[in-house]
Amino acid sequence: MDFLLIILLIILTYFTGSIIEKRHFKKIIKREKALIRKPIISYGKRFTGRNKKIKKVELVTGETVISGDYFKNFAAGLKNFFGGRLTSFESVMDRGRREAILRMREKAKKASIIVNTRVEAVMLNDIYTGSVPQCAIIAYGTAITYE
Amino acid sequence: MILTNIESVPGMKIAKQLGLVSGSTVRAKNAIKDFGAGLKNMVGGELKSYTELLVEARKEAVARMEEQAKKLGANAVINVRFATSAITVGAAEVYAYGTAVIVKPIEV
Amino acid sequence: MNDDLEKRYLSVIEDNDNVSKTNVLSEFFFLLLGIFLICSAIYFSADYIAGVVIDNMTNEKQLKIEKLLSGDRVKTINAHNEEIKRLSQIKKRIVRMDKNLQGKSKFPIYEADMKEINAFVMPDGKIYFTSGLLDKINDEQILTFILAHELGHYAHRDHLKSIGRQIISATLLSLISFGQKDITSVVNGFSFADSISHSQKQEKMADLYANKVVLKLYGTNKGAIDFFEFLKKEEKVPEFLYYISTHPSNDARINLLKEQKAD
Repeated sequence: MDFLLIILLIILTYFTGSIIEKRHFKKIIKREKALIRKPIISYGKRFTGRNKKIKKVELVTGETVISGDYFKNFAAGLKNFFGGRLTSFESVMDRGRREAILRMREKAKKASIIVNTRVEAVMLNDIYTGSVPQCAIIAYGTAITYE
Repeated sequence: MILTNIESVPGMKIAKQLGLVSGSTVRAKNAIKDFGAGLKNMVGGELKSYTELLVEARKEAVARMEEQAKKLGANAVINVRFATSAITVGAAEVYAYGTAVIVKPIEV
Repeated sequence: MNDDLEKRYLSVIEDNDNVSKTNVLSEFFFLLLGIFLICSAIYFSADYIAGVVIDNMTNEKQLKIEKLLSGDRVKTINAHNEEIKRLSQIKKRIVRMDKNLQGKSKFPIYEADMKEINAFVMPDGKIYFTSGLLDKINDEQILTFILAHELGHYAHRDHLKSIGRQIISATLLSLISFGQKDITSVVNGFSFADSISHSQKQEKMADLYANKVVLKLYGTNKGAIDFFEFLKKEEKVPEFLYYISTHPSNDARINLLKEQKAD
């Protein structure tokens, strides 16, 4: 009975998934706190600092590919039937985005500001077949270093 | 070559616009790493092999875009955007496009 | 950057605003419970509808459907003609006792060419005793009990009810598309458990029917109890496997008969 195999996978991946998630969030929070004095902005057309002299302009990107686990997928399938927020995947997307943005910022540590940041996400596998979704997230912006 | 994703290069002015340039690439990882990623998929978390795949694809796409800009005689590409999509399971296409320009430093 | 602004940045970093605070596990169990309740409602209504339709069926319709459902594919041999004749005599006495069995099938009895100890009845009333059973069991009380058990299945229209139930619940379940493959396996698991429990209930009712027949004809059901003790030794199947079996365990059947010793 593949029913039993599914139950086993659900229990196993619930535990592995929640451990991985907690660890990842801890790391993310630590790195975000380290970069707290260097915020980034999402507009670029009229940014401050026109009067300052510019040393370097660079395009920086950060990307990551993240996936849920079997338990999250199963729980989301159940919730899908009844409707509402798919809470199990919210943490996955949040982690992915924050990770991609952090990687972008860490590449531009010496920069003064990163302007016009954009974040894009794309699904890497066919979610209609019922397999666990994998999402690629890319964040990019222009890093400006003032003199 | 200077790249920015805003509509100008800060501290410089645009002397001439040369048109849209783009670079794209489709990449796939080998089957063994695919299988490993499939297992990791069940467990959850970041798929490092696919991230590498994406990074390589992005670098290549940007390099091709810069090459096109060089051919046109530009020294900067502004308003760079990325479009990523999945072609098939385990393969991703990265498409980078922007406007090639010639910039000159602003006479202060 | 002044301290106040830094504190506000820290609170944005640390509070996961983009993640719900609900406990994923408790939500998951509620969802499972919801699916379970929906499935139970479906099986319950399938049971009820099938019961109503079949209990109110005319005899002609019943016979027509039964003929459709039966085949002639069981291989028979004629090794135990004496026992078959004896069983036919007993069968006539049982049919005389129950109005529900009259005016329908003639219940012809055959010997099936199989080595296991088994007896079964077809939807159209043909009864088969295996060679394995006729070799090992000679006692009249036991044979009566087995024959009455199979006739009980027919009297309760068990075949029709099972099939009707399956059709209705499968139709209702397919109307509600549950979505992904994984959930369909869970629902299949529920369906399996439901059909097992229904089948065991049917066997229990057939046992009670046969028990009444045996008590009326012989005044005791000791023969039947001995038969199940014999089966216990012969089959050597561990008790817990009966949870997923279509029949109740031998111990459970023995206990049921012991409770019903006196009518």
